[in-house]
Amino acid sequence: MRKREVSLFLLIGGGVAVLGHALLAMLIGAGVGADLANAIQIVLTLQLSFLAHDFLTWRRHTFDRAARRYGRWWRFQTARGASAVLSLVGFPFLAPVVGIAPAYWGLLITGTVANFCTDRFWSFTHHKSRTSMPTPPVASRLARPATRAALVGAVLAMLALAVVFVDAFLVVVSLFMLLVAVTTLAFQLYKWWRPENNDPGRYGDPDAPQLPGVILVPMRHEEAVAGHTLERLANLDHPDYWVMPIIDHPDDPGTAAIAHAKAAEYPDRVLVAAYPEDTDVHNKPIGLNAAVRLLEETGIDYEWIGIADAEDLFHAGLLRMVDYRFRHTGAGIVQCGVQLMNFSAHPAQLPLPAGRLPRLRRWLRANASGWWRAANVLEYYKWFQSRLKLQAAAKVMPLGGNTVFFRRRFLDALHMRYGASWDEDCLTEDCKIGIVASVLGYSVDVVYIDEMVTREETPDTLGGLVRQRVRWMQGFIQVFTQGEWLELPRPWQKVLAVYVLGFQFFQAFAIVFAPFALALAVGHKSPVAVALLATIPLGLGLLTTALDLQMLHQFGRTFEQKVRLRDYLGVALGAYPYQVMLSVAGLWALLRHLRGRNNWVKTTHSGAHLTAPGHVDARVLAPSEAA
Amino acid sequence: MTDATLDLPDITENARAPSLRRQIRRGAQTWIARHLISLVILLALLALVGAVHGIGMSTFPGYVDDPGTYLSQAWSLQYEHRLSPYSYFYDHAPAGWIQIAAWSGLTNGFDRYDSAIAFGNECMLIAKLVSMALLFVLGRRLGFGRIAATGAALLFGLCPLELVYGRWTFLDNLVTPWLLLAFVLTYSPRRSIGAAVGAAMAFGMAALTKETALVLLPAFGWAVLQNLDRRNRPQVLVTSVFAGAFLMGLYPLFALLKGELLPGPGHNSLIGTAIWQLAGRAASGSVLDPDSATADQLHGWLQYDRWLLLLGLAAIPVALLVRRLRPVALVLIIQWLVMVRGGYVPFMHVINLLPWSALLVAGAVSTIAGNPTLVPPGWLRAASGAAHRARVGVAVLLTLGLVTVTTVSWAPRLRPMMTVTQEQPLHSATTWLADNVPRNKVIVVHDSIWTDLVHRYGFNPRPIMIYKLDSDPAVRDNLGRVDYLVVPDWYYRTGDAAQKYPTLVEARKHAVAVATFGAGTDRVQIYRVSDHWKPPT
Repeated sequence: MRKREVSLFLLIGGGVAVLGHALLAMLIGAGVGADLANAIQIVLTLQLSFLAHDFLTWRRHTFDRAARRYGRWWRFQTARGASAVLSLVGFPFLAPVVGIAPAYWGLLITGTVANFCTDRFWSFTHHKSRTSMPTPPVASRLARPATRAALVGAVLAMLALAVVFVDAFLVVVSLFMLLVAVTTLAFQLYKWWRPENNDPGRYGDPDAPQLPGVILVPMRHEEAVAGHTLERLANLDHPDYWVMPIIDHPDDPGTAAIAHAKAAEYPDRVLVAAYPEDTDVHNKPIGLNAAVRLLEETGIDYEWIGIADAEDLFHAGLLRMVDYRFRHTGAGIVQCGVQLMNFSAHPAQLPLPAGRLPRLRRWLRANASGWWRAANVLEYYKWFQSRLKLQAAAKVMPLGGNTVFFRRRFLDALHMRYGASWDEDCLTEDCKIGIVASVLGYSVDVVYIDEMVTREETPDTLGGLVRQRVRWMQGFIQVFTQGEWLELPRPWQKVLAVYVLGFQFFQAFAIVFAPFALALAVGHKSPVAVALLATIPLGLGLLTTALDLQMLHQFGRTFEQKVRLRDYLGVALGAYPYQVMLSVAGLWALLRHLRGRNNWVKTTHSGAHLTAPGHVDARVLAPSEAA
Repeated sequence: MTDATLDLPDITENARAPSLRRQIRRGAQTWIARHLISLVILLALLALVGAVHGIGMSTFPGYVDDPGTYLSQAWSLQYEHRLSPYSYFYDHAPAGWIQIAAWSGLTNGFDRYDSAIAFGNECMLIAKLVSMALLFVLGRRLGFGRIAATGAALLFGLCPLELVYGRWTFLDNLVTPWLLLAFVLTYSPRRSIGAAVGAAMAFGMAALTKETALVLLPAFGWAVLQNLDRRNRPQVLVTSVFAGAFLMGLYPLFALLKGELLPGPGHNSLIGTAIWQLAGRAASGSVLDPDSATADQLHGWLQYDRWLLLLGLAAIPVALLVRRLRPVALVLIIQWLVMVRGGYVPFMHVINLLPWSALLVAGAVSTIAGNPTLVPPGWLRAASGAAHRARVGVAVLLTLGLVTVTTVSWAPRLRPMMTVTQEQPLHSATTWLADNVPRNKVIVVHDSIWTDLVHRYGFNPRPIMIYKLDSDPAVRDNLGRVDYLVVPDWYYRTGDAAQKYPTLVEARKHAVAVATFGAGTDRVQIYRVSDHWKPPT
């Protein structure tokens, strides 16, 4: 379908252009002035191409909507007319700078792409009225066609400026990339910035636990791991806590049976909560809110609530430490470390697939996935040890999705403010809750103790990882557009919040663009100073990779895993592709958001286009800390 | 709910982030309170040394070759955005005059004085004061008491030899603060990544200011290794090594981007010049050979002051006994070894010896006095009793001796350096040229007045620097005529003048002296060259 749209678009465009040229030649041959001939030609060809596009190219959108053709016509004339005028005005400026042929073809290609985008996303698009799901005001404002057209126009204008003033553009971009690279490093190195940040005794020695608490475990189709997880969670070293698996009973009888068996086995430890039956939507926040309501109804006394995912095996001493840190720091939230473990490209780390040549296929798969696995593992390693700590210190803090513990008074404050503890419409409710904590003035304590981290696995496939990232990034955009961060008390916190929420985008784009900036500087024969400046972000990118290698070594030593040469190679060679992957995810997330598709979570579980094999979904949901 | 939860600190109170301004103010207050005494001492030191250095710096010492070159390059950078008014041939890494140009750009330096050299003097005064302050801080960080750190700063700041060489606009004088900063940051008690990266970048700046600083890499590396903390060692090493290497790498990268890294026909190259500097230049011999040029230079230095250099040499063995002082001692050892090696030693090399000598002398006296940070407990340090008293007594005697010797020896030497009133002959010549010579004449000049003639007096065509006359093909090819010669007499008097400056010597044979300034080898005669003589092509 999409392919046909593109080819039709190009075909019609080319055909109309040839016709227009013939018309122009005819008019001029008939003695009409050049300006007038051009104007007539433009007006006529515009009408012609509107009709062709309306009936052919975009019939998927226009079908059955003949009544609204007038609106489409206006939008089309505005957009196409603007692009034609922009090209005509831009050409005389551009031609002396880059040469006539590059200017002509550059404008033609840019114009075609721009026209396609305006056609596709504005002129010929109709929005269904959004009654199904109320979107936040800012988000809908962003999704409005005029805003989108303005955005596209701004991007195009910036591109045009960039083409004309290459050097200035390079300087600005390089400085921005430099800023991003330096802050990336600062985030990454915070834990080691000063020796005492990494002191083994920095968290203190937990005393006797005093605060009663509850661990919530949202579960969905987790027969494989539920029993094991609940068994472990029921036997942690803390005198006074409840474990509450949250299960949709009619939907998931298998897991429910396991959970109820465990509840019978540990009657004063495990209590099963039911997922609400009055909704078709399945997501984590709804379940969590239901469990909190159940807590209120049963009158269980608790001072904190912890979140675990179905496969999370908490360390036995974790609750004592959390209890101690709550009392010791007065924090509203304690976030404990989560660590992905399966970085290795060694085939033995993967299960043997069924089918022919299983060993060969496993070997290939292990070696082909090593690069992103290792990068993903290191990301967690850096996030939980370093970045979250720095952000906690700055009091601007997106949280992780599990192994996170909330003080009751903080949850009550959330309830007072929103009517529910977790935002049921947000893609990354954990990110949002962290920002809101900062707004409400609750501090976050981050605890990363090597032997206490919750161990998890990377997504099974690269596609799974990309989907996970798209969801996180879209969630971050959502949190950004909802504007809670505007209420942060200090101006520098607001700046930091923008930076933290946009960080993934900035970082990915900056690293991906760095080599191109340098190539552009060298190719364009920019002043040497500009070229030198353009190399600095690239150099810092190399430093980041060097640090990654060093951290992989450290990771292997800490968790007693053998790191092989191919793992190091994977990290070194995969560093750039990994950022490309993140950029793609970022762009995708941005497009989804602009098109108003915020329904990710819902579609995920109804299973249409995103059901990845096995447990991916549960895991995708699990580590949505993403910082 | 238990009672224990009720006496918690109010959560929201400590969670509210303080404003940035308040954080900064509070940080500054604690910092000042902690360092108040040192700050007061430092301010007094700066005032004293600044006065001694600054008073009379425009009239003493006389002009030499290099300052004019560097200042013309700084001028070229500021006004023409090029690294040199002639083609840059990678004789030195450019950071030195980039710094001068940056200061001039910020403060409009070339317009504030009636000569470029005077502006260079100002830069050197700043470098000297920064160096001295950093020397004080480095002493403190090494573990010196305030008295010893003050001693080091004064030895460095008031030494007549240092005063002479420190007043000249040499790149080495700009290297000193960067090197000292590198060591100061290395010995940072926080042991943070920031300090280590700063140290590595400061060392990189030193090497970019004058590449000779690279010989100190072993000493600097030793100091870095000595100050690592087990808890962040790998990260500190990776980041700081990378930062330093990357900063230094910008220089070859610059050459690469200009297509001038590797030697080739028709262009200058970094590697080509480096090969010439390392292998092609006449060696000045080892200082151990009494007939060598290096030995002559040492003799020349000792004319101004013998105490600091020789005491520094004597302090090395004592400093080597102390773990914390060893890297610093290695710096001084390397700088002396450079003179023993027998290669080319520039005559301003002494600049690299003096600060470290001052530091080691103060460190050695502190060690003898039994400073607890420097001297570990054990056989070296007697905490009390007769041995302790003897040590302290020796240290006091040494200090007294040092004070007496330096006062007696230095005061009479410093006075003339601060009170010479005679104007520099080359400066007088500049004024004469401006008053008497049409702006369109072709003048061959000493480089110290080139910038003034171009920038202040607007000579066009630009005057030609004497050492470019016969060495730069571009100059030789475009030389139609020469109208005036303005160079000090020492150019004509060197034995190999006819080989080094053939055009100059030939032109003078067809010229008459029209004005004379000064006397002796510093004498400057302005020659007017005959209209009928044309330079050979």
